[in-house]
Amino acid sequence: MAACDALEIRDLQVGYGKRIVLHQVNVTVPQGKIVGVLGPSGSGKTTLVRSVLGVIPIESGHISVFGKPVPSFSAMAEIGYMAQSDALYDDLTSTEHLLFFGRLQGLSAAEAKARAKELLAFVELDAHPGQPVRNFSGGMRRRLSLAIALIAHAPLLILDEPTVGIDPVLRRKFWDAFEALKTQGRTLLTTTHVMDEAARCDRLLMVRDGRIIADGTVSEMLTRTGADTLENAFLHFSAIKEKEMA
Amino acid sequence: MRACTVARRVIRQIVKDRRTMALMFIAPIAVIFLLYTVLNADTVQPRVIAVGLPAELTEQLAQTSEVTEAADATAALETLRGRDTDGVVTFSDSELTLFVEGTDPSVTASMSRNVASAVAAYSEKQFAEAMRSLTAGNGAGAPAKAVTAPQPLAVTVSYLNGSADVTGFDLIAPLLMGFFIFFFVFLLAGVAFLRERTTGTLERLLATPVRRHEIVMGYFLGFGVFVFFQTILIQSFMVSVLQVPLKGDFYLVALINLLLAAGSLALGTLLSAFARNELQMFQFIPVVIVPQVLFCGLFSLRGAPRWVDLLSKAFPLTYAAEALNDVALRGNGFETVWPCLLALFGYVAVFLFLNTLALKKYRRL
Repeated sequence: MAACDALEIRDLQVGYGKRIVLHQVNVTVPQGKIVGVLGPSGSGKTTLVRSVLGVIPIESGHISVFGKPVPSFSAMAEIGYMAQSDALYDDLTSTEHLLFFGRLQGLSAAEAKARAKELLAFVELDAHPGQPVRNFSGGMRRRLSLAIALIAHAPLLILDEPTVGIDPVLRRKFWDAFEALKTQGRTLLTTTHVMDEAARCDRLLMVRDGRIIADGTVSEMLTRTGADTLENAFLHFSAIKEKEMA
Repeated sequence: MRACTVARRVIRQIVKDRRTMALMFIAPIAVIFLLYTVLNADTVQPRVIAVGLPAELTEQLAQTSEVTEAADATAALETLRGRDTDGVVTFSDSELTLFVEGTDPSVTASMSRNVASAVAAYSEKQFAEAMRSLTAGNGAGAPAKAVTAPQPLAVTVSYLNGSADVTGFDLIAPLLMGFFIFFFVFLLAGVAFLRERTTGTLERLLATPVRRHEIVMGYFLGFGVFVFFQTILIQSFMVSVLQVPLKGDFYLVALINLLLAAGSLALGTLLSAFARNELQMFQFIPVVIVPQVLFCGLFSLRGAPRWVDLLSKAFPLTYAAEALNDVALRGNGFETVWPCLLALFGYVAVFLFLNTLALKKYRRL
C-alpha cells in the first residue's frame, strides 16, 4: 500500500471578512520532500500555513495531514511549526522554551530534557542555556524557534519564512539543516519570498493573490517557461494567470 | 508646519479607532450619568421601630422617619439585626436609646440626626408646656405651686456592629480591599494574556495538541498562584498594619477575596480577547470597573431607580462587597455568606467557560 501524502489540501478557500485570501487551493505534499511556497508578501503564504495548522477558520475545502483531518489533535501532533514572528517568551531561557513546548507536544519531562539538550547543540545555542531570550540576537531567536519546531520529532515541519532577517551564513546553515532533516525522512513545507532559497526545494508552489499559479520542480518550471531564473519564471506564470483572470 | 502634520495624523488615526472615539465621547457621559443616578437618588426616609416611646415623641419622629411602633424590644432588635429596619428607638426611665446596625455610615448619620431633632422638638414642647403650667399655676391670688422643669432627654446610641470610634475608612475598608484586589488582578491578567495573543505565542500554543480549556486553566492556575499571594498580602496589610477591624473570620474573608480575585482573573483574560493592545485593555476600566465600584455598595442604592438595583446584581463585586461587609463588619459566618460565595464561584465558572469559547476565535477545535 502506497504511503499517504504528508499533506493534502483540496479546494481550500479562506477569507477575512468579505475578502477572499485563498481561492480554491489544491496541494499535495509527498512524504520526505522539501516543498517551498514561493510568493510575494500578501500572496497568502502565511494564511495557507495557518490553515494547515488549524488556527484560522476556513470557508470551505478539506485539509489532511498524513491522512488525518485538520483540525484534529492527532493531525496537530504530526506537525512541528516555526512561526514567522519569533513567538517566544522574553523572560524564559532557551531550555525553558524547549521543555515547555516539548511537554505540550506530549514528551515526558525526561524526554523533553534530553531532546532540549540535543537540539540546543543542533542549533548551536548550547552555550547560552541560562540566558533569557530577551538578550538573544535575531539569529539566535530564529534558531531557537527552529529548535522548538523540531522538539517532538514531528514528521511534518511547517516553517513560515524560516530565514527571514538572518545573515547569509546562518541561512546556509539552516538550509543544510533542512536537507539533513529531509534525509531523516521528515517532510518540510516552507514559505519564502527569496528566489535562491526556493531553488533548494524539491518542489515549488508559486502563489500569487491567493492562488497557486504554478506547481512543480524548479527545473520543470524553468523548462516550461524558458526562463533563466526562478524570478523570471514567477513573472511568466503571473502574467499567464493575469491573462486568464482578465 | 510639521506640528500640524503630526496633529492631522493623530486626528485621522483616532477618528478611525471607533473604540477610542466611543471611550472619549460615550464613556464619560455614561459614567457621569451613573454617578449622578447613584448620588442623586431620591432621599429615602429611614425606617425605625419605636418601642415604648411617648406618643408625642413618636409623632415628632414620624415627621422625618418611617416609624413602626412595637412593644417587644428584643423582637425589634432582631429585625434590626436582619437589616429589615434602620434603627430601633427604646424609651424607659426617661432614657432614650437609639440602636443602629452600624455598618452603613449614611444610615447611622441619618438615624442619629432624625432622633436628635425629634428629641429636641419634643423637649422644647415639654418645656413650653411646663412653662405654661407654671405661669397658670402662679396666677394672681393663687397659691404658689412647685413645678418641676422637664429634664432634657439623654440619647444613647448603641451599635449592633462597630462603635462610635469606628472611622469612615474602617467601614469602607472591606469594600476597598475587594475593589483593589479585583482591579489589579483584572488589569494584570488581562494585559498578560493579551501579550500571549499579540506576540504570536498563543498561535504557537494552539498549533500544538493542547486543548483550549487546558490553556485557559493553565493560565488561570499559573496566574492564580500570584493572585493568591497578592490577595493574602493586601488583606494582611489592611488588618495587621492598618488595623482595620475584622469582626469575622480572617480565613472566610480570604476565601471571599480569593473567589473575587479568581473571577477578576477569568474576566480579565476573557476581555483581553476583545482588545488588540494594552491601551484597549485599559479602556475597559470605565466600562467594566467603574460601574462595579458605583454599584457595589460604596454608595447607598436604596433610593436609586430599580434598574440600578438590577444592574448591581449583575456584577461580581456586589456579591463580594456584601459578603465582605457581612463577615468583616457584622461578624457573620459561612451560613450567612454562602449565597454570595456561590454567586462568586458561578462567575468564575462562567468566565472560564467563556474564555474557552473565546479561544474558538483562534482555533475551532
